[in-house]
Amino acid sequence: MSKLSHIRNFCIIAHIDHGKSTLADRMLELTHTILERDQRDQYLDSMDLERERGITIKAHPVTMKYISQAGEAYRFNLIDTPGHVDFAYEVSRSLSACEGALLVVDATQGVEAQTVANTHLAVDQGLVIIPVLNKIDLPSANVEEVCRQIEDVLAIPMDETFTVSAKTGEGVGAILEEIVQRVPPPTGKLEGPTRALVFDSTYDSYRGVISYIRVVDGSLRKGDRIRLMSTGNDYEIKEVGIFNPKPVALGALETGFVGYLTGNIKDSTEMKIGDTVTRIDQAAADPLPGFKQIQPMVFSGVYPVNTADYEKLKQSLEKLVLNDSSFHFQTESSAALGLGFRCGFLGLLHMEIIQERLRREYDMDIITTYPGVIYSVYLRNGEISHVDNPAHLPEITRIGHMEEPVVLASIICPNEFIGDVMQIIMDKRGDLEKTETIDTRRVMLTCRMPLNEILIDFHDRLKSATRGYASMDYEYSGYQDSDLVKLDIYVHGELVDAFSCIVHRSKAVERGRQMCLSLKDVIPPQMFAVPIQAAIQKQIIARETVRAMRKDVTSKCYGGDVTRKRKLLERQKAGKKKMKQVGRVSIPQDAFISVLKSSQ
Amino acid sequence: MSGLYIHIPFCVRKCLYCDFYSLETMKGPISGRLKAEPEDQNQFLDSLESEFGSAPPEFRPDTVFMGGGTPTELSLSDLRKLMSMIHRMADLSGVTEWTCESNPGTITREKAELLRESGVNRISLGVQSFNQRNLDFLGRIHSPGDVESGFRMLRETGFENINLDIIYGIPGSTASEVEDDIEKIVELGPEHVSCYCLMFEQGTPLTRMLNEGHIRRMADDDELEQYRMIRKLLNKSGYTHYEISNFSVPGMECRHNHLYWGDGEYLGFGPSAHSHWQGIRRGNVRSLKKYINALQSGDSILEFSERLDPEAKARETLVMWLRRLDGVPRNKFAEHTGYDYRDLCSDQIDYFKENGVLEDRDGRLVLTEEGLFVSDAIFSELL
Repeated sequence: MSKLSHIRNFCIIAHIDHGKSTLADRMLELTHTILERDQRDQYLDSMDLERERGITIKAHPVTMKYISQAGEAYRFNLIDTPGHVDFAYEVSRSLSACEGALLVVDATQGVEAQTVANTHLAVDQGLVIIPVLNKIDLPSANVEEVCRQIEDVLAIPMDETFTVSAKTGEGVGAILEEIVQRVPPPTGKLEGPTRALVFDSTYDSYRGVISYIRVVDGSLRKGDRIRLMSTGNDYEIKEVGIFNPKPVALGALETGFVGYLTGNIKDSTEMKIGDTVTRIDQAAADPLPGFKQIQPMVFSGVYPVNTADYEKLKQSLEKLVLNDSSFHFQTESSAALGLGFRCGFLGLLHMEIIQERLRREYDMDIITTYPGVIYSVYLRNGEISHVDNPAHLPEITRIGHMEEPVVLASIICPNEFIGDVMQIIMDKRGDLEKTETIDTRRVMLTCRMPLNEILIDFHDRLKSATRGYASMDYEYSGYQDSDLVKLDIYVHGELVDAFSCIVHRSKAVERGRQMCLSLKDVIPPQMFAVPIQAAIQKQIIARETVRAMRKDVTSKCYGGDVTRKRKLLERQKAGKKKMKQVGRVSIPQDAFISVLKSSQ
Repeated sequence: MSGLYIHIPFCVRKCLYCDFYSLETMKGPISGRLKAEPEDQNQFLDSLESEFGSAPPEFRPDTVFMGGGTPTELSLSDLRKLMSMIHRMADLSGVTEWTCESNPGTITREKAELLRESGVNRISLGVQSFNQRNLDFLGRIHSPGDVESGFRMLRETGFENINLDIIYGIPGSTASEVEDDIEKIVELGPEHVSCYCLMFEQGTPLTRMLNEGHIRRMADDDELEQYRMIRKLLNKSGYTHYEISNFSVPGMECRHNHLYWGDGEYLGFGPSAHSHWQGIRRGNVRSLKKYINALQSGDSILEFSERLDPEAKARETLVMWLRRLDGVPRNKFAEHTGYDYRDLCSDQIDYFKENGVLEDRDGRLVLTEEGLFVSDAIFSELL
């Protein structure tokens, strides 16, 4: 029996709220990895945000010791995967660190879009899939029906499906035994060159970057000199260990092990997800397959509400990037908003998380601009420019054509909402590619649509049109030719750059009108009527007018208390100073927030 | 020119919108506002006399203004005591205008005669509205009938200079009610009319009602309509609109108020009274108890005091002078403040002129009619 035969590396894939974390908790309990009294619900989700949203953002591996029915001890490594499409690359790296996957489906809800997407990813990686039907304790559970769905949609035979209640623990023991039986052990080489896969990392201000790794070939021990194969950078290992579930330092991580390493790596951008770690004395010739540089897909300007907070915002972003190297930022400036940053995110959820963390963890008041994507702009002179900021769009006369990123989206919804969903897809410039029946009640629509249409209100509209029943997933699917225009907003004849955006020509008028209307509501009356105009290349396509202030007069004189009167006027003046001056027009800070918000 | 102001901090009942300092003399928890304690009431005149004693010897007022509160809420004997004290303590030889504020519900013939005999030659009567519903809304204690009888009685007592205060912009009021108010006023024929737009001052019951959603503010457009109507009707009836809120028959402008708007000097006595003397603005404590105690123990009764630097002072003067509809004479302003207003804020002035809210008229800077309605927005930029 080799050293590897008693190791099992697996992950859990599931749709949001289908019970992934609860199942993990029960497994930790049954294997005595944690005591029941230490139990805190959803042990592996460590960030407040994750707990609140019921999703896992950061994967966190954990090692368990399991004694099989045959009385043999196994080392189980559970690798928790991030559960959102924004993190598809991280998911794929986590999956590639495993040999098996538990596919958890809520017996009351059935298969959802994300379940399908993640199962396909796991099958592509050659993982053994063990389907698990969860929440069978609930009266609304429909075991037979959902088993049939799993067979129909995912092509997994019904009789392989396990039924459990992660909440009560019923059936969880049988899954542990099944993992021993069906998930194959790792197949790495014990001797010879060392290769370990980095599937995630986190940052600790004392220890630097902590990398989560799966040792594929060879072994790693404290003091080893290592090299990261994508960058060629060398480090010395300070510590290796496993999560049990708290970090426990070990002398070595052997072949097939899943754990962490630290080694005075100061910046998470040095430790790229998917990279291969090798030992300098046992150097591998080739890295593990599948490494990609991850590129942000969604961009937005982030500005401090109070311009004096620019430095503080910068420091906060620097700290965030230490933790999350997939997030990018660089300085930009806006005439209306002052100094700020153009930030790049993996997707919309990633953007929301970062913005929310800035607000909560770093206590920053921020204004974020209309989110956008990277457009490929083909210039007449043969050059290609990649534009992530409307302000950087070249002169229209220099542009040959433009392309925008598209996604392949799968949407599962109840039959009765097909019409509404198709309408939304059309409104969002999507092309329906196919319609598949999931079961007697639901269909799956697959469509190609522009990424920037998904950014705005697609998900909300989908949910409200289907009373919350639709689920959606998507994958990036390249670029396509598109008739895009830059929409500018002029306030009293002055361009307000913070409101500019790149939109499809067919959407420009509607969007321009919308922005003019919301601005009209938030700009207070000025001494004169203020036209608000939306324009494409200076050609006006929509207009509203903030009417002139009619009345602003204090008749009362406060007796001889002239000071009071003066102070009231001074306060009025100070209030106006806090507003952004665009020409002679004072626009309250709130206006930027509410307009940019209303358009998202 | 200088003025004397005396603050009488008592009212039978405080009106719901009022944030001037005064204590209620009415018993019982009717409005939940501060009550006057009898011992403080008794002490008040003595304290006032002791504050009088600290007036600079050169103080020789041209105008006297008794306000509050409600001066005529004092009992006849206290009022008599007050009048003789003023005569005893101040050199009144130069006084040409002596105003006493009053309320149609508290002025009696005896009190009016006493005031007249003591030298008061102008009465300012808080009418506010001739509509019972609006009076109730404001928490006034009098009825429309009280105004007419009170006014006639004042005339019979010999007052030839009477001001009536009215309030517009009362939530729920209509333009035609305001029109009625003005018609009634014109019928009575006072020499002076002050028109104030209802304001929601911090801490008043009315503002609380507003914040709790029981009442709603009148729309700006409706307020403006009422203001325009008041201007139109009073102008038509021979009154001159001479200050943002004030109208008078020619020659009967309030001289005392001119000292406030015109950067004049005045000394104020009583709790919460304000003074402007030799370039310093001062404010007395807004508490009768503190006022009495401080005067007894020889402590300062001031709550606030400031001397502005010359430029800030000049800007303040510009803004206050602009309240007058005949505007700011450029020469006189320069003479008074040492600044040419164009040096202080020519950009803003030009900008406002372009937008038609300020204009030059015979060497004066003047608010246009449109400017009148948005004067705060103008003033706040000029400060």
